Amino acid sequence: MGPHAPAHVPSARWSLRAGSAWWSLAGAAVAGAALVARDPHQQGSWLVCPLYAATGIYCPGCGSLRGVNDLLTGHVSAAVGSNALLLPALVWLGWWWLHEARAVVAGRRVGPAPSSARFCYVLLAVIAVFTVARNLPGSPLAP
Amino acid sequence: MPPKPDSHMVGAILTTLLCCLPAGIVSIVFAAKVDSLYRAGDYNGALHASSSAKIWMWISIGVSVVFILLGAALFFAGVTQGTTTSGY
Repeated sequence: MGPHAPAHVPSARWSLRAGSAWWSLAGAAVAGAALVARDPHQQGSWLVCPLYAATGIYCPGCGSLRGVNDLLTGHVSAAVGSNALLLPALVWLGWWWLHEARAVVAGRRVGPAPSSARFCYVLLAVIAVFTVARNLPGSPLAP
Repeated sequence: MPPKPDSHMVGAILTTLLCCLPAGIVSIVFAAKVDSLYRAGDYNGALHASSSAKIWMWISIGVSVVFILLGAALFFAGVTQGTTTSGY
């Protein structure tokens, strides 16, 4: 989008609109049910991670499927142990979803997901520290 | 000034969390730029950062798909027989 583009009102194309609010909820429900039905704690039950298989490094996402299974089977502390960032991320996504769904119900125009610059930079720092910390020997943050 | 352009944070966070991708990180950096440029009154700049965030979000999703296919290939090649494997 160059400087000659008309300064139109940006569309909410990639935000939730009426209908997609419910589709995303249905998608989350299906994913959750699948992760309960087929336990990701079983090795190889959900394929293998190429990064871990090749390097043995835990990425910041490692353990998130196991964590979702832990949460849905009522093991909250095990979920934190699988991936400490999972719970805060799900809370953020849930808060965003409620925010959007409320706008849909009220018939308001749905805006983009809230994200201040400070939030983005803090998030990047947290991800970086978390990734290093969980790969230290004997780290309690390892999945 | 028109409303703030979308920073595509949801896609960025989902792909970073689920697939651990550097592209997701770049997407978050552009999301931050959308906010700071918009606050500084640079609407076109914010719009530009928004489209960059979107492009990187899709790169992130694309690489995620390749990554998962690679995982499937390793899985069916029998890498899971070893002792050093792990799920996601």
